[in-house]
Amino acid sequence: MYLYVLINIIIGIIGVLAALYLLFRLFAWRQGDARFFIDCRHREPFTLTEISSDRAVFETVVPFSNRGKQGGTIMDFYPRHLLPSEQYDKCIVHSRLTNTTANRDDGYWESVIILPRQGGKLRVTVELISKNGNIREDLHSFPDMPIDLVYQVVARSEWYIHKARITLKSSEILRALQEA
Amino acid sequence: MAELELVPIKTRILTDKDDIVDSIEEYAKGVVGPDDIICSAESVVAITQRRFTRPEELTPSWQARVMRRFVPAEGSMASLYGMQAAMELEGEWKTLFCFIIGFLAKLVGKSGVFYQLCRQASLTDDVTGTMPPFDKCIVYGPADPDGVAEKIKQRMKCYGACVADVNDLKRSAILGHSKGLDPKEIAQILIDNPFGNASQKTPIVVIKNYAAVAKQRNQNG
Repeated sequence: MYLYVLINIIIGIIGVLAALYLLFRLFAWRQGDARFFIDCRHREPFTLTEISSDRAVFETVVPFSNRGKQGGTIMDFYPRHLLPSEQYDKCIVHSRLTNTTANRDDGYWESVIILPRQGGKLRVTVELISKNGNIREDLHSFPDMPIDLVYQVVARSEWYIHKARITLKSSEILRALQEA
Repeated sequence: MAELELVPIKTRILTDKDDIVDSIEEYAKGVVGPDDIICSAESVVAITQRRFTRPEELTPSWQARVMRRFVPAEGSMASLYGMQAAMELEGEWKTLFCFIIGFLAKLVGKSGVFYQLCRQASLTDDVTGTMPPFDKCIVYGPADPDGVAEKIKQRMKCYGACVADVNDLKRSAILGHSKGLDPKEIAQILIDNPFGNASQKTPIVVIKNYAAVAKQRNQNG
Protein backbone atom coordinates (compact mmCIF):
# COMPACT_ATOMS: atom_id res chain seq x y z
CA MET A 1 0.00 0.00 0.00
CA TYR A 2 2.74 2.46 1.04
CA LEU A 3 4.83 1.43 -1.95
CA TYR A 4 1.89 2.12 -4.26
CA VAL A 5 1.39 5.61 -2.75
CA LEU A 6 5.12 6.32 -3.01
CA ILE A 7 5.20 5.32 -6.69
CA ASN A 8 2.20 7.55 -7.36
CA ILE A 9 3.89 10.49 -5.63
CA ILE A 10 7.09 9.98 -7.65
CA ILE A 11 5.12 9.73 -10.91
CA GLY A 12 3.18 12.85 -9.92
CA ILE A 13 6.38 14.82 -9.26
CA ILE A 14 7.91 13.67 -12.56
CA GLY A 15 4.69 14.67 -14.34
CA VAL A 16 4.67 18.14 -12.78
CA LEU A 17 8.35 18.68 -13.63
CA ALA A 18 7.76 17.51 -17.21
CA ALA A 19 4.77 19.85 -17.55
CA LEU A 20 6.81 22.78 -16.16
CA TYR A 21 9.64 21.99 -18.55
CA LEU A 22 7.28 21.89 -21.52
CA LEU A 23 5.69 25.19 -20.45
CA PHE A 24 9.14 26.74 -20.17
CA ARG A 25 10.13 25.50 -23.63
CA LEU A 26 6.88 26.90 -25.03
CA PHE A 27 7.53 30.24 -23.31
CA ALA A 28 11.11 30.34 -24.64
CA TRP A 29 9.90 29.49 -28.14
CA ARG A 30 7.31 32.28 -28.05
CA GLN A 31 9.84 34.71 -26.61
CA GLY A 32 12.26 33.95 -29.44
CA ASP A 33 15.74 35.35 -29.88
CA ALA A 34 17.76 37.73 -32.01
CA ARG A 35 18.21 36.62 -35.62
CA PHE A 36 20.67 38.61 -37.67
CA PHE A 37 20.46 38.83 -41.41
CA ILE A 38 23.30 40.17 -43.55
CA ASP A 39 21.66 41.30 -46.75
CA CYS A 40 24.49 40.50 -49.17
CA ARG A 41 22.15 40.53 -52.17
CA HIS A 42 21.38 44.19 -51.63
CA ARG A 43 24.90 45.41 -51.06
CA GLU A 44 26.02 48.46 -53.01
CA PRO A 45 28.45 47.93 -55.92
CA PHE A 46 32.12 48.28 -54.99
CA THR A 47 33.42 51.77 -55.73
CA LEU A 48 36.98 52.96 -56.11
CA THR A 49 37.72 55.42 -53.29
CA GLU A 50 41.50 55.83 -53.63
CA ILE A 51 44.05 55.01 -56.29
CA SER A 52 47.76 55.65 -56.71
CA SER A 53 50.41 54.02 -58.88
CA ASP A 54 50.69 50.94 -56.67
CA ARG A 55 47.54 50.95 -54.53
CA ALA A 56 43.78 50.92 -54.98
CA VAL A 57 41.03 50.98 -52.38
CA PHE A 58 37.49 49.74 -53.02
CA GLU A 59 34.46 50.03 -50.78
CA THR A 60 30.96 48.65 -50.58
CA VAL A 61 28.10 49.05 -48.13
CA VAL A 62 26.16 46.01 -46.91
CA PRO A 63 22.88 46.32 -44.98
CA PHE A 64 22.15 44.09 -42.01
CA SER A 65 19.19 43.73 -39.70
CA ASN A 66 17.84 41.86 -36.71
CA ARG A 67 14.84 39.88 -37.91
CA GLY A 68 14.33 38.15 -34.57
CA LYS A 69 11.93 38.88 -31.71
CA GLN A 70 14.66 39.85 -29.22
CA GLY A 71 17.51 42.32 -29.19
CA GLY A 72 20.97 40.91 -29.70
CA THR A 73 24.57 42.05 -29.50
CA ILE A 74 26.99 41.81 -32.38
CA MET A 75 30.19 41.42 -30.39
CA ASP A 76 32.57 41.15 -33.28
CA PHE A 77 32.48 41.52 -37.05
CA TYR A 78 35.35 41.12 -39.47
CA PRO A 79 35.99 40.33 -43.13
CA ARG A 80 37.96 37.32 -44.31
CA HIS A 81 39.03 37.65 -47.93
CA LEU A 82 39.75 34.45 -49.78
CA LEU A 83 42.38 34.84 -52.47
CA PRO A 84 45.07 32.16 -52.40
CA SER A 85 48.37 32.91 -54.11
CA GLU A 86 47.85 29.87 -56.34
CA GLN A 87 44.96 31.79 -57.88
CA TYR A 88 46.41 35.31 -57.98
CA ASP A 89 49.68 36.63 -56.58
CA LYS A 90 50.13 40.08 -58.10
CA CYS A 91 48.64 42.01 -55.19
CA ILE A 92 48.71 42.10 -51.42
CA VAL A 93 45.15 42.26 -50.12
CA HIS A 94 43.96 43.92 -46.91
CA SER A 95 40.31 44.08 -45.88
CA ARG A 96 38.43 45.62 -43.00
CA LEU A 97 34.89 46.62 -42.12
CA THR A 98 33.17 49.12 -39.92
CA ASN A 99 29.69 49.97 -38.71
CA THR A 100 28.66 53.11 -40.62
CA THR A 101 26.99 54.54 -37.51
CA ALA A 102 30.22 54.17 -35.49
CA ASN A 103 32.76 54.73 -38.20
CA ARG A 104 36.33 53.77 -37.39
CA ASP A 105 39.41 52.95 -39.47
CA ASP A 106 41.26 50.58 -37.13
CA GLY A 107 39.38 47.41 -38.06
CA TYR A 108 37.99 47.15 -34.52
CA TRP A 109 34.31 46.32 -34.19
CA GLU A 110 32.71 48.03 -31.24
CA SER A 111 30.08 45.73 -29.71
CA VAL A 112 26.61 46.99 -30.50
CA ILE A 113 23.09 46.06 -29.41
CA ILE A 114 20.62 45.79 -32.28
CA LEU A 115 16.97 45.83 -31.28
CA PRO A 116 14.34 43.68 -33.05
CA ARG A 117 13.41 44.91 -36.53
CA GLN A 118 16.31 47.35 -36.53
CA GLY A 119 19.59 47.19 -38.34
CA GLY A 120 22.43 49.12 -39.83
CA LYS A 121 25.04 49.15 -42.54
CA LEU A 122 28.57 47.82 -42.84
CA ARG A 123 31.23 49.56 -44.86
CA VAL A 124 33.60 46.92 -46.25
CA THR A 125 36.94 48.26 -47.46
CA VAL A 126 39.39 46.30 -49.61
CA GLU A 127 42.90 47.61 -50.18
CA LEU A 128 44.94 46.12 -53.02
CA ILE A 129 48.67 46.81 -53.19
CA SER A 130 50.56 45.89 -56.34
CA LYS A 131 53.68 43.82 -55.76
CA ASN A 132 55.39 45.23 -58.86
CA GLY A 133 54.21 48.83 -58.59
CA ASN A 134 51.54 49.04 -61.33
CA ILE A 135 48.13 48.51 -59.79
CA ARG A 136 46.11 49.45 -62.89
CA GLU A 137 47.83 46.77 -64.93
CA ASP A 138 47.54 44.16 -62.18
CA LEU A 139 43.83 44.81 -61.67
CA HIS A 140 43.03 43.87 -65.27
CA SER A 141 43.62 40.22 -64.38
CA PHE A 142 42.16 40.35 -60.86
CA PRO A 143 39.76 37.40 -60.33
CA ASP A 144 36.45 37.35 -58.46
CA MET A 145 37.38 37.36 -54.78
CA PRO A 146 34.97 36.03 -52.13
CA ILE A 147 34.94 37.86 -48.80
CA ASP A 148 33.37 36.17 -45.80
CA LEU A 149 31.77 38.59 -43.35
CA VAL A 150 32.22 36.82 -40.04
CA TYR A 151 30.19 37.93 -37.02
CA GLN A 152 29.85 36.86 -33.41
CA VAL A 153 26.48 37.24 -31.74
CA VAL A 154 25.36 36.96 -28.15
CA ALA A 155 21.71 37.33 -27.17
CA ARG A 156 19.28 35.35 -25.04
CA SER A 157 20.94 32.17 -26.25
CA GLU A 158 24.57 31.06 -26.29
CA TRP A 159 27.08 33.03 -28.34
CA TYR A 160 27.74 31.85 -31.86
CA ILE A 161 29.76 32.79 -34.91
CA HIS A 162 28.13 32.95 -38.34
CA LYS A 163 29.30 34.20 -41.69
CA ALA A 164 27.84 35.67 -44.82
CA ARG A 165 29.62 36.03 -48.15
CA ILE A 166 30.03 38.84 -50.65
CA THR A 167 32.23 38.77 -53.74
CA LEU A 168 34.46 41.51 -55.10
CA LYS A 169 33.92 40.80 -58.80
CA SER A 170 36.49 41.45 -61.48
CA SER A 171 33.77 43.18 -63.52
CA GLU A 172 33.11 45.59 -60.63
CA ILE A 173 36.80 46.43 -60.42
CA LEU A 174 37.05 47.17 -64.13
CA ARG A 175 33.88 49.27 -64.07
CA ALA A 176 35.09 51.20 -61.01
CA LEU A 177 38.45 51.83 -62.70
CA GLN A 178 36.72 53.15 -65.82
CA GLU A 179 34.49 55.46 -63.77
CA ALA A 180 37.40 56.84 -61.73
CA MET B 1 31.82 83.10 -3.62
CA ALA B 2 32.68 79.49 -4.39
CA GLU B 3 30.53 77.49 -6.79
CA LEU B 4 30.31 73.80 -7.52
CA GLU B 5 31.99 72.81 -10.74
CA LEU B 6 32.21 69.37 -12.33
CA VAL B 7 35.52 68.75 -14.08
CA PRO B 8 35.79 65.53 -16.13
CA ILE B 9 39.37 64.25 -16.33
CA LYS B 10 40.45 62.61 -19.56
CA THR B 11 42.72 59.57 -19.27
CA ARG B 12 44.14 56.94 -21.56
CA ILE B 13 42.25 53.61 -21.50
CA LEU B 14 42.88 52.15 -18.07
CA THR B 15 43.36 48.39 -17.87
CA ASP B 16 44.02 45.71 -15.29
CA LYS B 17 47.70 46.68 -15.51
CA ASP B 18 46.84 50.02 -13.87
CA ASP B 19 46.23 50.96 -10.27
CA ILE B 20 43.25 53.29 -9.96
CA VAL B 21 44.79 55.40 -7.20
CA ASP B 22 48.07 55.85 -9.14
CA SER B 23 46.12 56.70 -12.28
CA ILE B 24 44.02 59.32 -10.53
CA GLU B 25 47.20 60.86 -9.13
CA GLU B 26 48.77 60.85 -12.60
CA TYR B 27 45.86 62.55 -14.37
CA ALA B 28 44.16 64.67 -11.71
CA LYS B 29 47.05 65.91 -9.59
CA GLY B 30 47.04 69.44 -10.98
CA VAL B 31 43.26 69.79 -10.78
CA VAL B 32 42.36 68.58 -7.29
CA GLY B 33 42.38 70.84 -4.24
CA PRO B 34 41.55 70.30 -0.57
CA ASP B 35 37.89 71.35 -1.03
CA ASP B 36 37.25 68.90 -3.87
CA ILE B 37 35.71 65.45 -4.21
CA ILE B 38 37.11 62.92 -6.66
CA CYS B 39 34.60 60.57 -8.27
CA SER B 40 35.69 57.50 -10.17
CA ALA B 41 33.47 55.48 -12.50
CA GLU B 42 32.74 52.06 -11.02
CA SER B 43 33.43 50.10 -14.22
CA VAL B 44 36.93 51.54 -14.48
CA VAL B 45 37.66 50.71 -10.83
CA ALA B 46 36.45 47.15 -11.50
CA ILE B 47 38.59 46.85 -14.65
CA THR B 48 41.73 47.97 -12.79
CA GLN B 49 40.88 45.28 -10.21
CA ARG B 50 40.67 42.68 -13.00
CA ARG B 51 37.03 42.10 -12.21
CA PHE B 52 35.80 41.24 -15.69
CA THR B 53 35.29 38.16 -17.79
CA ARG B 54 34.33 37.24 -21.33
CA PRO B 55 31.27 35.24 -22.47
CA GLU B 56 33.66 32.75 -24.06
CA GLU B 57 35.11 31.98 -20.62
CA LEU B 58 31.76 31.14 -19.02
CA THR B 59 29.79 27.89 -19.06
CA PRO B 60 26.13 28.74 -18.48
CA SER B 61 24.32 26.71 -15.82
CA TRP B 62 20.74 25.50 -16.14
CA GLN B 63 19.73 28.07 -13.53
CA ALA B 64 21.06 30.88 -15.75
CA ARG B 65 19.34 29.38 -18.80
CA VAL B 66 15.98 29.44 -17.00
CA MET B 67 16.23 32.77 -15.17
CA ARG B 68 17.46 34.91 -18.08
CA ARG B 69 14.23 34.18 -19.92
CA PHE B 70 12.22 36.04 -17.28
CA VAL B 71 14.29 39.25 -17.17
CA PRO B 72 13.20 42.25 -19.32
CA ALA B 73 15.29 42.51 -22.48
CA GLU B 74 16.99 45.80 -21.64
CA GLY B 75 18.78 44.52 -18.52
CA SER B 76 22.23 42.93 -18.34
CA MET B 77 20.65 39.89 -16.67
CA ALA B 78 18.55 39.17 -19.79
CA SER B 79 21.73 37.91 -21.41
CA LEU B 80 22.67 34.31 -20.66
CA TYR B 81 26.26 35.32 -19.94
CA GLY B 82 25.38 38.43 -17.95
CA MET B 83 23.27 36.24 -15.67
CA GLN B 84 25.94 33.55 -15.49
CA ALA B 85 28.64 36.13 -14.67
CA ALA B 86 26.63 37.43 -11.72
CA MET B 87 26.06 33.85 -10.58
CA GLU B 88 29.80 33.12 -10.69
CA LEU B 89 30.29 35.63 -7.87
CA GLU B 90 27.03 35.25 -5.97
CA GLY B 91 26.59 31.49 -6.31
CA GLU B 92 24.13 29.69 -8.55
CA TRP B 93 21.73 28.51 -5.85
CA LYS B 94 21.78 31.82 -3.98
CA THR B 95 20.98 33.68 -7.20
CA LEU B 96 18.15 31.27 -7.98
CA PHE B 97 16.76 31.68 -4.47
CA CYS B 98 16.96 35.50 -4.72
CA PHE B 99 15.28 35.31 -8.12
CA ILE B 100 12.37 33.30 -6.74
CA ILE B 101 11.99 35.73 -3.83
CA GLY B 102 12.13 38.63 -6.29
CA PHE B 103 9.51 36.96 -8.47
CA LEU B 104 7.17 36.42 -5.50
CA ALA B 105 7.74 40.03 -4.34
CA LYS B 106 6.82 41.27 -7.81
CA LEU B 107 3.55 39.34 -7.63
CA VAL B 108 2.60 41.46 -4.62
CA GLY B 109 3.71 44.66 -6.37
CA LYS B 110 7.26 45.15 -5.04
CA SER B 111 9.87 45.55 -7.77
CA GLY B 112 13.65 45.37 -7.58
CA VAL B 113 13.87 42.83 -4.74
CA PHE B 114 16.03 40.45 -6.80
CA TYR B 115 18.58 43.20 -7.41
CA GLN B 116 18.57 44.21 -3.74
CA LEU B 117 19.23 40.65 -2.58
CA CYS B 118 21.67 39.74 -5.33
CA ARG B 119 24.09 42.68 -5.46
CA GLN B 120 26.15 41.47 -8.42
CA ALA B 121 22.99 41.23 -10.53
CA SER B 122 22.61 44.99 -10.25
CA LEU B 123 26.32 45.82 -10.58
CA THR B 124 27.34 43.54 -13.45
CA ASP B 125 27.52 45.22 -16.87
CA ASP B 126 26.98 42.96 -19.85
CA VAL B 127 28.99 43.27 -23.08
CA THR B 128 28.72 46.76 -24.65
CA GLY B 129 28.51 48.18 -21.13
CA THR B 130 31.87 49.90 -21.23
CA MET B 131 34.41 51.34 -23.63
CA PRO B 132 36.63 49.39 -26.08
CA PRO B 133 38.50 47.12 -25.66
CA PHE B 134 36.33 46.08 -22.69
CA ASP B 135 33.12 46.33 -24.74
CA LYS B 136 33.49 42.60 -25.37
CA CYS B 137 33.74 41.86 -21.67
CA ILE B 138 31.25 41.48 -18.84
CA VAL B 139 32.38 43.82 -16.08
CA TYR B 140 31.51 43.05 -12.45
CA GLY B 141 30.98 45.59 -9.73
CA PRO B 142 34.15 46.85 -8.00
CA ALA B 143 35.52 45.20 -4.87
CA ASP B 144 35.71 47.23 -1.65
CA PRO B 145 34.57 50.56 -3.15
CA ASP B 146 34.68 52.26 0.28
CA GLY B 147 38.31 51.21 0.72
CA VAL B 148 39.21 52.42 -2.78
CA ALA B 149 37.56 55.80 -2.11
CA GLU B 150 39.40 56.16 1.19
CA LYS B 151 42.74 55.38 -0.50
CA ILE B 152 42.06 57.99 -3.20
CA LYS B 153 41.23 60.58 -0.53
CA GLN B 154 44.39 59.81 1.48
CA ARG B 155 46.66 59.94 -1.56
CA MET B 156 45.17 63.07 -3.13
CA LYS B 157 44.64 64.93 0.17
CA CYS B 158 41.23 66.11 -1.01
CA TYR B 159 37.95 66.56 0.86
CA GLY B 160 36.58 63.17 -0.18
CA ALA B 161 36.33 60.52 -2.86
CA CYS B 162 33.71 58.14 -4.16
CA VAL B 163 33.09 55.34 -6.63
CA ALA B 164 29.99 56.10 -8.68
CA ASP B 165 27.69 54.18 -11.00
CA VAL B 166 26.09 56.75 -13.29
CA ASN B 167 24.48 56.41 -16.70
CA ASP B 168 22.79 58.57 -19.31
CA LEU B 169 19.34 57.37 -18.18
CA LYS B 170 19.50 59.61 -15.07
CA ARG B 171 20.50 56.70 -12.86
CA SER B 172 23.13 57.67 -10.33
CA ALA B 173 24.35 55.65 -7.35
CA ILE B 174 27.37 55.91 -5.09
CA LEU B 175 28.78 52.43 -4.51
CA GLY B 176 31.50 53.49 -2.11
CA HIS B 177 32.68 56.69 -0.50
CA SER B 178 35.21 58.06 1.95
CA LYS B 179 34.10 58.89 5.48
CA GLY B 180 31.97 62.02 5.97
CA LEU B 181 30.31 62.18 2.54
CA ASP B 182 26.58 62.02 1.92
CA PRO B 183 26.17 59.48 -0.93
CA LYS B 184 22.66 60.66 -1.82
CA GLU B 185 23.83 64.26 -2.26
CA ILE B 186 26.84 63.23 -4.36
CA ALA B 187 24.62 60.99 -6.50
CA GLN B 188 22.33 63.94 -7.14
CA ILE B 189 25.29 66.15 -8.15
CA LEU B 190 26.38 63.50 -10.67
CA ILE B 191 22.88 62.80 -12.04
CA ASP B 192 23.62 64.31 -15.49
CA ASN B 193 26.48 61.85 -16.02
CA PRO B 194 29.54 64.11 -16.27
CA PHE B 195 31.57 60.94 -16.96
CA GLY B 196 30.18 61.12 -20.49
CA ASN B 197 29.55 58.11 -22.62
CA ALA B 198 32.04 55.31 -23.10
CA SER B 199 34.17 56.75 -25.88
CA GLN B 200 34.85 60.05 -24.13
CA LYS B 201 37.46 58.45 -21.87
CA THR B 202 36.66 60.57 -18.80
CA PRO B 203 36.36 58.00 -16.01
CA ILE B 204 37.26 60.54 -13.31
CA VAL B 205 35.20 63.59 -12.37
CA VAL B 206 36.31 66.20 -9.84
CA ILE B 207 33.60 68.05 -7.94
CA LYS B 208 35.39 71.34 -7.38
CA ASN B 209 34.78 73.53 -4.29
CA TYR B 210 32.44 71.05 -2.62
CA ALA B 211 33.67 71.73 0.92
CA ALA B 212 33.63 75.52 0.45
CA VAL B 213 30.08 75.46 -0.95
CA ALA B 214 28.91 73.20 1.88
CA LYS B 215 30.46 75.59 4.40
CA GLN B 216 28.74 78.60 2.82
CA ARG B 217 25.44 76.71 2.79
CA ASN B 218 25.78 75.89 6.49
CA GLN B 219 26.61 79.51 7.36
CA ASN B 220 23.63 80.79 5.37
CA GLY B 221 21.11 78.56 6.84
